[in-house]
Amino acid sequence: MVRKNLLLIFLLCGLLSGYTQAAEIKETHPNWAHLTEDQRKVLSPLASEWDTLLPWQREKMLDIAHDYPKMNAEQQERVQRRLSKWSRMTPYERENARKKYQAMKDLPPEKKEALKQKWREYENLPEEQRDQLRQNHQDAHPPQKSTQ
Amino acid sequence: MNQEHDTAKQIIHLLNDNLASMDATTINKLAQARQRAVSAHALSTQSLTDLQQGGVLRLFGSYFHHHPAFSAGLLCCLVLLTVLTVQQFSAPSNDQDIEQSDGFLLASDLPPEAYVDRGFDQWLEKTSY
Repeated sequence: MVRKNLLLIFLLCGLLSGYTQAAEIKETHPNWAHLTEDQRKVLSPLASEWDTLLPWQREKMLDIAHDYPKMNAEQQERVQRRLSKWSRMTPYERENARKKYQAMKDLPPEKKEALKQKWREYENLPEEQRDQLRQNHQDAHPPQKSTQ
Repeated sequence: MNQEHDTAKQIIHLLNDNLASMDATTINKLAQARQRAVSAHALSTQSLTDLQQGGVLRLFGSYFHHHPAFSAGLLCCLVLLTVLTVQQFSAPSNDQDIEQSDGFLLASDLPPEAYVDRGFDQWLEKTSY
């Protein structure tokens, strides 16, 4: 009698845990077909590659879709334009981007404007010159070797 | 408490004084009463010891053993409550969402590649930003 009850309890716990996990996975890592209409609209630049994204990538993209309605039209247009490139960046690049974004977003407006201007100038440089700048940066800031 | 003590002492004195003149029936009644009092005292002491040595757990164990359906239901409720509580506390707040969302990074004035392009960092250094 006691063994039967224990078996029943374990079975119920297993079912509950399995159901919760399945529901969570479906909610956080859904296939393209399982996205809502609004999510598909926001994430449309990623439609062809969505089902090949890793679960954590999908989760991050869904966070973006979640915040999308809070943005103005100009911001929404930028997000749509930059989504594909963002999805192809490595986790390391994204983490660096987040850190720099956090550091720059609190700058005074005039500094932000100057930064935008500098980016426009940089974008207009010939590719060779930009490569040279990257090389110069690497020479000036060599990657630190880990000491063990 | 003191009054009870005094009354008991008076009874002892009366019994001692009249011990010699007591008849057999009274002595027998007193012996039986004493026996009942000692038994009752022993029983109450045993119950207290049982409770102190896990008697409460045995009491609940026995209850759950006789009500398996209720026990299973109670356990499931506890599991569900734990899952819900963990989810509630692990979910980030809206404020954190807004602060840390990648969406707002993508919507910012600079494109994401600007934040990771070392050449741009060098350009900023070179042009004394």
